[in-house]
Amino acid sequence: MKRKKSAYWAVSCWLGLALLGYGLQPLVTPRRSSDAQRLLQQRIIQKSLLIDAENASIVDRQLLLDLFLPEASHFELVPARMIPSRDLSPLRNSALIDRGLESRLAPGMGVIGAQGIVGQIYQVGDGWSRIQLADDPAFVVPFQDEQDRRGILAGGPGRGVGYPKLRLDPMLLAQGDLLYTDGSGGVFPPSIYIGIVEQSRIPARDSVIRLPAGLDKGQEVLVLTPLDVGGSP
Amino acid sequence: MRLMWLVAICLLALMTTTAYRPLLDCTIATADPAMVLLAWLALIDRMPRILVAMTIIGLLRIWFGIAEIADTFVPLLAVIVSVRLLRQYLDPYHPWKRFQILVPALLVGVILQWILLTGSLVGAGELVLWSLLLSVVITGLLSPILDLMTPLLRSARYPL
Repeated sequence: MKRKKSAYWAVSCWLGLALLGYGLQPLVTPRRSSDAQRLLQQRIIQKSLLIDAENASIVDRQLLLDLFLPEASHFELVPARMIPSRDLSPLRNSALIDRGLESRLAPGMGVIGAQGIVGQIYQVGDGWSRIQLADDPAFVVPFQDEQDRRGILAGGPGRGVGYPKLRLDPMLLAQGDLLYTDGSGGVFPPSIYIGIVEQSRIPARDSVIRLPAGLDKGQEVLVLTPLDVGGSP
Repeated sequence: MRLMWLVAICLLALMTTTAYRPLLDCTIATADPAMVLLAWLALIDRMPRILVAMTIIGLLRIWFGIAEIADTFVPLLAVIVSVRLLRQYLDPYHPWKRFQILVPALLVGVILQWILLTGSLVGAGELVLWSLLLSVVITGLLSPILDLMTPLLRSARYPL
């Protein structure tokens, strides 16, 4: 009986340990909103007008569309809201969006945000899709630097970073170099921001690329639907 | 009843992984409480129960994420096989020697998962270095708690 009692104590201790982890999360999680968004939130609280938030979301989406429409002429841009979601697999990084089959989304389609690349659709359902984020270790995307030298970038190993997995042209990445999509592969249009070289190392594959900020935050995103495979007429 | 406790403990382990993930980033992969639980079960428990725990952990990871069958179950199986191999040379009941079984087995699991995800060992060195110490800490923290839980699982194999 005494042993069973200590077993219950052990379960409670473990539960306490898990709850402590959840309690500590706000201390390390990056601030969820930028200053502008915080101001907007304060305004919403002050005025108690939920419609403000809706309008702001529409404005965000419109800004995104205006920003990327010239770049993505071969794609239909489907606006969506990205909701951060913690993947149960410790090495994988994913998130959810509020659009799915009803918007003719399909696995493999690219997702971009105001800051740049976000990821790729992995799974689609009714009213939802799961995105493989750009910092997932299995995510790969072709890139080019400012001198149009090309390579393949992979996500990971940490949050918000990636590394040049392969160089297709001879290149030496220098700290501060900006990387963009090269348009090959048909998933992303060219010139979408991928990241900045944070640490330049030799061999180049050990370099650290800082991916666009906000991959772990809720944000307005655009899904790139190729016009020839399911885009609107 | 025993199965219910096993399911509850597996869920608790997965919940702990989710709770500490933002704090520990990708190093949680080696110090993953769910993996520690599975390795601890593999030390001395019966195979059917180990496989049940592995299935629960694996299926939940596939359903609530982007994990695939191979990159989920192969590392879990590798951990079990490594523990079973190492326990032939080291005493699994010894409080210190079992560390020498658990920590290498956890490392084998995470390296294999990394290779399956990326197709190479690039980036794994940093991952392993940072997570080695952490896996010792987490295993050291969870093993006594798991030992205390053995009456709930009521397996004849536990000497406690």
